[in-house]
Amino acid sequence: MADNAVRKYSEYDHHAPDISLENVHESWDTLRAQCPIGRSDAYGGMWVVTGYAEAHEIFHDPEAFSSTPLIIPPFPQAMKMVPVEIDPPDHFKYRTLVATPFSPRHAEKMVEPLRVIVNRLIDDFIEDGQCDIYQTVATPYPTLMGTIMLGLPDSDAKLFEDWTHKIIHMSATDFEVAGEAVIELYSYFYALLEDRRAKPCGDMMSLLAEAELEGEKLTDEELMGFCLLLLIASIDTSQKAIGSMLWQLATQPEVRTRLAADPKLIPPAVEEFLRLWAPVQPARRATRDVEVGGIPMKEGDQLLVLLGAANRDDREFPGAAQTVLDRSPNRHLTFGTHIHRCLGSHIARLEMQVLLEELLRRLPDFELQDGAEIEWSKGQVQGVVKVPIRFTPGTREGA
Amino acid sequence: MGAYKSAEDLYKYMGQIFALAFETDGLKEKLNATGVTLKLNLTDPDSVIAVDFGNGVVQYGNDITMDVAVDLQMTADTAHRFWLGKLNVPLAIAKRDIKVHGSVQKVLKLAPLMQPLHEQYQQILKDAGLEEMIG
Repeated sequence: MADNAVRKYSEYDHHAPDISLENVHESWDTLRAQCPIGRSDAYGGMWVVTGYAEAHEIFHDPEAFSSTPLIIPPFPQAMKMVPVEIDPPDHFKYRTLVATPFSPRHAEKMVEPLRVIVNRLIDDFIEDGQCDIYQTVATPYPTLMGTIMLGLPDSDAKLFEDWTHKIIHMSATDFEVAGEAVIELYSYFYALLEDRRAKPCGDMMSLLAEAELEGEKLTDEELMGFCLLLLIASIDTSQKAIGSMLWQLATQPEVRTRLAADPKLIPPAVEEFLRLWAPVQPARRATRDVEVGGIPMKEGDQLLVLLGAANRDDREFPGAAQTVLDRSPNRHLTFGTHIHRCLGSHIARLEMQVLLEELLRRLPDFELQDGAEIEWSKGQVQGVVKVPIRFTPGTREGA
Repeated sequence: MGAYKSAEDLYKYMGQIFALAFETDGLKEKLNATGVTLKLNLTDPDSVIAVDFGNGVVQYGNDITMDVAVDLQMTADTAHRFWLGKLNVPLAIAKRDIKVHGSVQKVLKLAPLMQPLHEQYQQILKDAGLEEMIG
């Protein structure tokens, strides 16, 4: 057993400093083997869910399990992220406002812009024969995609990455720094929405600025709730999912070679990587006394639903720890399920598919550098965040 | 016309809430530990409150002698909405409804500590027969 693997639910803390790539999955497996749900003492007490069936049941009962707060401990924004932290019956009204730009049909239109971004990023390092591909691809790729989706200038990409990192990864340890990032983010989007109200231009921000619910414009709180969620959800989650996928490919040449030889396998393979590396581990709150998997919970109890652990539950996925590129069925919970299913799931899938197509075409032999140090980002958005690779240098394709 | 009609009324009721904060076991220690000094420069009605959280000292108007690290400017209504628990502080700063001169981080450290006092502020106003100010 790996050092520092967690052996008891009571000791589980998703922000614990010694969580690492080496022990994270072993801890989850150890806990799930005891019981699919257990009680942690962290953050005033919370239920930790590691089983697939139990996570599925909780997500399918939004009346009994509120998605507010989604984060333990909460972000400093002091208001709800919209629509994910809105419960039924209002949730549907908010979600509908932004559903169209995230539809499968609209996502398909992004394939070529995605391909352009990926190849531009690869051009920047392909002649070098080595890089940290988390920094060169996994970090900027979702950010640039997010700027296109949201209609934001890509010259501000670094700002968005900085705010997102501080809000998601420093709220638990440095609340004031995260709070300052929230204020900067709000200031930015408040000014942008003012601009779009005066000069709508058909982008996502104009859509929000002009949106109405039951004849009323959205309040500043609602608008900021949308902006915060749209920005952090489009950037950080995809970065971590991509970082983890690239780490696996850099360390498993047989998987990489098989995909490079048969690109038709890429779409189901992306689903398998998503299953193995679910970045988001959301929270829920019991709205009444309720029982799940034989465990009684009280109204107000908070739950941390470890989707990454649920996705590795052998009861649902035979040989769950194994990578099966064409696994079917593959009903993973990485994007959540039911009413809060990730709005950006279609675009996220395409992001990963296009990335693999281009990366395996241009860097088919990339592998982890000898002695490379890997970093694991813990918390509620998890993944590998340092992937130093080497490869046979290639040539730039862009001008 | 804002919720408060005179600086005297504002000092009286906001003064009570600060006094309560420094008398409440558990909260007092947390406030002292921040060591923050700040001044609330309010308009409509014009009024000034200075607070030394480290030492539990509050001064008002012309009696203020302390130097502070953080200056906050806002309307008295904005401060009133904060005490009612109806103000989102990060959004108010972003919209410049609260102007901060000094460390924003110190303000963010203090604001959540005040949360337990929102109900008590409402009770103070109720006890004074000022339910209409609660809204």
